[in-house]
Amino acid sequence: MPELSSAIKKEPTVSSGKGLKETLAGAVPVGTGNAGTAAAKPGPNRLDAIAKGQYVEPEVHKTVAGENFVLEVEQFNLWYGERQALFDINIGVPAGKVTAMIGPSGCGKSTLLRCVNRMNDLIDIVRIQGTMRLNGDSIYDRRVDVIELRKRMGMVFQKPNPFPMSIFENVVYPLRIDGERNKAVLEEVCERSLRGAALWEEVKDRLHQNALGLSGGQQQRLCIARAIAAEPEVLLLDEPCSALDPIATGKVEDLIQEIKGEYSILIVTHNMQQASRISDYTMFMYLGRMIEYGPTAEIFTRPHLSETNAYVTGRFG
Amino acid sequence: MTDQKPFTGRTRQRRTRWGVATGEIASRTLITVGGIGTIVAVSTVFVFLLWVVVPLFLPAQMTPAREVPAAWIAADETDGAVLEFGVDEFQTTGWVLNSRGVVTSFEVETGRSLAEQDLELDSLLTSVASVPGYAVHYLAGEDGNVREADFGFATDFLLPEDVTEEARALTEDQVMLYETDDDIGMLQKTTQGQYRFQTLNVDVGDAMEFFTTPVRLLTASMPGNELILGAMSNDGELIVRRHAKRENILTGTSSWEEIDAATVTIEKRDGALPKNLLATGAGDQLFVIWEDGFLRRFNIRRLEAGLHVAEEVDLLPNANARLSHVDFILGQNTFIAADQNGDLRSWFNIRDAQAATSDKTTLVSAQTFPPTGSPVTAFAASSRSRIFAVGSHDGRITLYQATTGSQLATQSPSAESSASENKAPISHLLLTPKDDGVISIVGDRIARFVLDPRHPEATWTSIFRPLWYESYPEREHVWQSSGANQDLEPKLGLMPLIFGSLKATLYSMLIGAPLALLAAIYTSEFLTPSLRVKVKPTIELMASLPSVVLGFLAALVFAPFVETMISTIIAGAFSLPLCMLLGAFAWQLIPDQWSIALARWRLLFIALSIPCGILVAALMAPLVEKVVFAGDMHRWLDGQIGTGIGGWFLLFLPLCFAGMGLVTSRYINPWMRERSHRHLWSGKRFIMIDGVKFIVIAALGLLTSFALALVFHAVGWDPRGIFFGTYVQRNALVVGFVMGFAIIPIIYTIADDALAAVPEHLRSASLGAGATQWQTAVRIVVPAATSGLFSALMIGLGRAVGETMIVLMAGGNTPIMDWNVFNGFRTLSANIAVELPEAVRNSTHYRMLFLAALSLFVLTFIVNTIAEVVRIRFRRRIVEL
Repeated sequence: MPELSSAIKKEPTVSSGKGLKETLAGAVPVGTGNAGTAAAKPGPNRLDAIAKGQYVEPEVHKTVAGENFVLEVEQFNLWYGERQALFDINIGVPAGKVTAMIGPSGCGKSTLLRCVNRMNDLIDIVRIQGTMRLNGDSIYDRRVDVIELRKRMGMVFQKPNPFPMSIFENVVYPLRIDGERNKAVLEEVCERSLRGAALWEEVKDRLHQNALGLSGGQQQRLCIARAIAAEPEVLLLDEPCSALDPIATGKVEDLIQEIKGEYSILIVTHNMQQASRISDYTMFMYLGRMIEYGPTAEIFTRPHLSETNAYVTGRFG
Repeated sequence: MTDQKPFTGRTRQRRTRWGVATGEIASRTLITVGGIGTIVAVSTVFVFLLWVVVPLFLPAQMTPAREVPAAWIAADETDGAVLEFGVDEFQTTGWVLNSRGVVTSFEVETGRSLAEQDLELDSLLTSVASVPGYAVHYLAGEDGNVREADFGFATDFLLPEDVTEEARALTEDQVMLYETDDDIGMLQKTTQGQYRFQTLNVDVGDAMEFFTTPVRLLTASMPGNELILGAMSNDGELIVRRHAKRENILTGTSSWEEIDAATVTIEKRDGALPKNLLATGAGDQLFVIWEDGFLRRFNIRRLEAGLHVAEEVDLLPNANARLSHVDFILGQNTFIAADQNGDLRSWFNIRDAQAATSDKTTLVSAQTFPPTGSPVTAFAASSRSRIFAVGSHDGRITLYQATTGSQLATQSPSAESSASENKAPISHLLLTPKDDGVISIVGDRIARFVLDPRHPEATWTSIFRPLWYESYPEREHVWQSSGANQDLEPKLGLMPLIFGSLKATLYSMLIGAPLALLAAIYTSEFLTPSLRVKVKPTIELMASLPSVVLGFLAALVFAPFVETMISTIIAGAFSLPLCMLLGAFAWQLIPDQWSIALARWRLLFIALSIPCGILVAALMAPLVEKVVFAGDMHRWLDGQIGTGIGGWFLLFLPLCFAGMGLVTSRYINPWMRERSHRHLWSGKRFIMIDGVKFIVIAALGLLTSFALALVFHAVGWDPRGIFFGTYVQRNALVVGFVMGFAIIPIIYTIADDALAAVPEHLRSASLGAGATQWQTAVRIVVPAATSGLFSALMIGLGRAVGETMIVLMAGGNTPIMDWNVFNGFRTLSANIAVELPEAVRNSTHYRMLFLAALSLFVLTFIVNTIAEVVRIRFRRRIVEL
């Protein structure tokens, strides 16, 4: 896709010498142990300041900095044409953990997620600035083959999107595009992935039926199985349960609980209960800026910022 | 209604306004009328076509009109037997010539004799020869002389004030016997209110002396401005004379001057002299026929060389059978041989290089007719079509069509004549000049039948099956609806036209469909949306080019261009894909940093490979022409030089490349992938090895193709005549290119819409799984859009089938069935456009053109139905997306 990628002006920032961990650690304001004082400091004007376009220092909990990051984002900015959608994002996604992104609609959660596997390349008005690294390898480098990059990540979308082919072919699609023809390998991967996605028992007798015949929840778990089959380094989930009923949602959540540890998961969700139930770390975003990032328990029970508190308790958003 | 306080401060009017209600009713009515009207209009077209076509297949009708006694017909030898009889084109007056040389005119309606005229020949007549299409007859007498006699009807229109009181009382179409001062004839009031007065005039020319003894047999034919007379005496002496017409400038009269003559003596066979003498209408053959079916053919084209037997044929396979009647039908090329069992066969002479005859032609029996079951006693050929009637011994009259071999109608003897004691055979039979009646003489009675032959030359067999047409070497599908002469046999085989339509469609789809589909895939999957919105209307603009302009350019500019550049084009068909593939390899060899940096210019590099391919083709062309086509392609195609190897080689090349590609992807690529994993080949190394593999595969493809070509050549097959053949400037290749161009926009537009309709989330899922754009397109998007792509192809196909102007102007319009890509064709649509203006309304030809239109309608209907069925089947898979 020559025209697409060429339309994006990649301007990698010069690394500032210190690593992301130091940046994150440094970003933590002094004396953050006391949630009450920190929350009071910028006052309720913080959101107004953001709305006015002023720079607001993000609040990153100390615990985060101690983790081992699979994905690092540094000074990341993104524009849709003239409009800036992401502002100076600096985050690290811990390996083997579930990291949730929450925030009101339009805050840039999904945009950020889609930037991770460069799906935004497909939109030719998108312009980015900044650095992302997957296990230390730059994502937005000139020399990166975007196809190889995407093979290292699995992505599950908001709407279940199985291909109009059999369940089996859906699951082994990542292997098919790699040219795998060995039937034994394909069958084994299919079963393992479907078991991993807790779907095996339901579909094992109809693997060769059209995947579109499955229910919504089953389709979404099939998509997760397809993502798992690709053996990704990180799993990106973009509101995977928003189109599902509560029972199907419960199953997908159980699944996420089961596979974490083996996979690093970055999940975008609108549902704060879901974020509190399944994630280890939570990041609150607002109007394209990361506001607060910390362990889920802390974010939901004693956030450092009053705005976060207001959001998670449902006072706005 | 509650007393609700309005929230917006406005109370809503809950009654539907009058205007809205009226508009609703009006629009609903209009839409209903329009919708039903459209369906009705389309059905009406179909019904109308059917209405015109159906009469083609209705059977001929022959109904008895009247049977009248005519005691004046002398049946015995002393009073003079009937030799010939005729009738005018309005069926009012007839005439009978008997062997005493007396012509009796009679009223057809009543059988009354009107006048007798003695030709004063001073000798009994022995034989009469007539020339179909001419009023002249040749009378041979016992004195050995032959005289020309013109039996013409003079027509005069009388004014109402000039006719008698009695005649004025005539109603329209009524006929009466009328006498003027110097003439006697029939008077008929026409539908225009005029009085048509018809009189028979017989002019007898000077005697031409053939023998001093009686003439036994006589035959005549008039090729061009010549007259050929063949006569045989009772001694078996056969004289053939060729005469030229000499006009006397002073008197304005013309006479025959003998220019050539030949004589031969025919010996008896089993003690019998020949029964019949027939000279063909072209004046090149003379058949001498014995009663036992033995025929001796003389080629009389060059009389000065004498009469030599060209061929001897037995017309009757059955040794005991006896010929009862042999005579020509219209055109004097085909003759019908009827035997005493009532079996009928048609025979004509064809050119045959393998024939053991001296003139390389041979007589063949083309058609066997349904037998009459009773000996044939009378025969009559139509003077305007290829139908003929035979009367049999049991009084039955049967009508046949000579080309199709079908029996059109049969008429049993009337109750009166069957009731009579002596169940008389039909002695003389006549088809009226307008083919609208049959008149027979049975004993001393005259029977008249009204005939409506309808469209005897059009039958299911003659339209859709091969027929053996006059002078053709074998059964063939032929379309030749009209010719310069009236005696041309109409050949109404629709298959060459259907074939032409399919050929044009096939070649244009072969060129247009892949281009259009690939273009659609490219714009919808690879092009940025901003560029796509510019490219799509541009391609759609191509559709606005009128096809007459395309056809005009094709015929006048493109066809001559292709003719001179044909070897380059053939070379280009191979060099272009090759250059593209090599370009793709070259791209892989560029270092990664460069290739990603240059990615935005990739299209430019792709485009660069096209001129490269053309250049290579231009450079290769002379080599190709020399190696494959023995130095001169046009002559090679003609079959004058070279062998079939080159042609087979070219034909097998794409097949071999495709086969090699299949083998590679199936067996070699997995093996290479495994090796590269095991040995950890670097990208560059892999590409190099891949390149070597590609070259080896290409070379293997060339070799296999060459080997196959050698094998096919060794077997003795030659592609020339099957897939290739003589180069005609306006050919299927030119039409393929230009009509391919014409159908690209319609296929492209629908295909692009179908691809764009595939939900974006499927693309995201595939790309998110790490698939390339090509993999996404081929594995996900194209299968999901199959229904739309299929209907795009089918609509393109429908357009190609019905396209007229391009094929009319660039297709050559030769209705031949030949797959040769360098030969022309004629499509159904072009045929209608060419011939409809010259077709007489409601004639067979006119109705055949409507049948062609109906076939076209059915063809596109079938294509569209298949398209719709397949589309619905595919769509069911996709509907859940």
